Amino acid sequence: MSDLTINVEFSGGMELLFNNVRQHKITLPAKSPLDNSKPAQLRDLIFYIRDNMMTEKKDLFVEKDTVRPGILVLINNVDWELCDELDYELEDKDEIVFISTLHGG
Amino acid sequence: MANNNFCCKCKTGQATIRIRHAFYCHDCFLFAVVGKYRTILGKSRSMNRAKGKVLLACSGGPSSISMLHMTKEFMHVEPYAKKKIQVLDSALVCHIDESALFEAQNGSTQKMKEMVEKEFPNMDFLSSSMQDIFLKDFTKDADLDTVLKGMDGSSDYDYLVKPIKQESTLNSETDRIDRLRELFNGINKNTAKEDLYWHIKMTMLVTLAKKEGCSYIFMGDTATRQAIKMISMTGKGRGYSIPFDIGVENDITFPGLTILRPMKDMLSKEIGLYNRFKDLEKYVIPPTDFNTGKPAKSSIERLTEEFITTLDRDFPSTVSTISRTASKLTPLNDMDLSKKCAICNMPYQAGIEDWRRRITVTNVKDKSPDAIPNEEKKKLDDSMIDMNEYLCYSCQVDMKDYKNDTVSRLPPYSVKAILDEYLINDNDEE
Repeated sequence: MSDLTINVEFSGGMELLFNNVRQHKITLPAKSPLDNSKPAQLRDLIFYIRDNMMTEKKDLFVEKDTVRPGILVLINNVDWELCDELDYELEDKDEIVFISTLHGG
Repeated sequence: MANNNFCCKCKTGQATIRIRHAFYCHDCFLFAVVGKYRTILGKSRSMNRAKGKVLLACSGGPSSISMLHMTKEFMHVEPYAKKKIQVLDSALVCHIDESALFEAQNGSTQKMKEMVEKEFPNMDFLSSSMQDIFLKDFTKDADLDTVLKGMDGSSDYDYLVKPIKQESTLNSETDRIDRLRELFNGINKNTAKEDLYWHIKMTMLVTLAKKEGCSYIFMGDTATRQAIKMISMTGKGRGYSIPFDIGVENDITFPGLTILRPMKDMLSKEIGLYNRFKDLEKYVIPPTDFNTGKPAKSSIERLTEEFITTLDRDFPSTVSTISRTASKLTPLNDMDLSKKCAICNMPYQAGIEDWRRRITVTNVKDKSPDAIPNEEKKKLDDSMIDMNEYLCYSCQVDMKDYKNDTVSRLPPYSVKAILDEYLINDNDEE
């Protein structure tokens, strides 16, 4: 069972929640920790980030079981709304971008 | 991971983005977004009448940066495109530095200056710091030695002050920064802080625009921001001036100056994606204000933002529906534009105080409800001024959250506006 390498980028102010670091390389197991028979999904990545990379203000990234409204997610430059959103099955070397669009202007 | 959607415009490219209920491919999306900007400029009454210098209000946030980029594209005309007239002669990027209030914004001016020099070389750059509001430059015929001191005896409806002479001690930049911080720290609620912050910013932009000979100010408010402001301003009692505060074109409140909001048809999602695809993200200075990182209930605007962004996620037409309603708002025909609020510079309705007395439930006193409030005032010390007479309703409400000595720290332009109006009224009565 191999691991997946996911390139994650934060922008639009989100990087402030992660020590001002925009680019991150994350290694995730290929199977979802919630259900070993299923491949890892985007929601697993989001929970991983919340539980391992954030020390405070978790509610500025994750609300209930999904990203906070106002945060855009791009999967390999495609709007996640076109790719099953949280159910998207991650593949090795995927590029996921989180862009915050709050307080614009 | 089925993505069988085709772009709704070109019908051939595979869709990569969903905006509201429509699917677009990259190129069509970018084309549509820029098209919205051009449409607004093309439809503008004032722009069609007269050209003029444009001041681009740029906070460094994502919408301002997109606006700069689109403006740059608009100023550039292909030699073979005979139909396109170069509408904008010259543009000036204006940044108001707020690092005195928000440490996270330190270095914003330098960053913006470098960006303009590199990416927008045919635009000038001007910056001013928020604490400069205490300088003579922002108050015509300034008398920086007079401040207003809050007096006891105010009822629920008036705010009594007395002008006193105070040696102007704001001699250095540090003094002015301290004064600015004291002013904001002396306001209890975030809602009132945000309002004052915004009014000071607008005043500075208008003053700078006039000083630099600009006839237009472009502001980067998006449709999302407009929807949020529409609801939050109604909640704060600013309904009278909403058409001016959020309308796409305002050439009424500041004679000689037109305020345009070319981004008002774009959702914040479109702006976020535009900046990403045009590689502008590196220039975006994450916006910080009193609500950044705070829970939803910290202010009316923050709560409204939470409400609208959450609703819009599940019902993507939310923002556009509110925006459409907002654009139908027009100012009243018989608006009295000669009276302007001393803090926010917007027109206010006459008779606010009487209205407040009529609708408010307070302690029942032994007076008949028909007692004329003015008779009480004549008994007061003649040198006291009721500030509320020169403020609009929402600024009056904000004043209730000011601590006792905060009013003495109000910027000079407000103090002068109040005193000038008072003297005019005083002369009338004699």
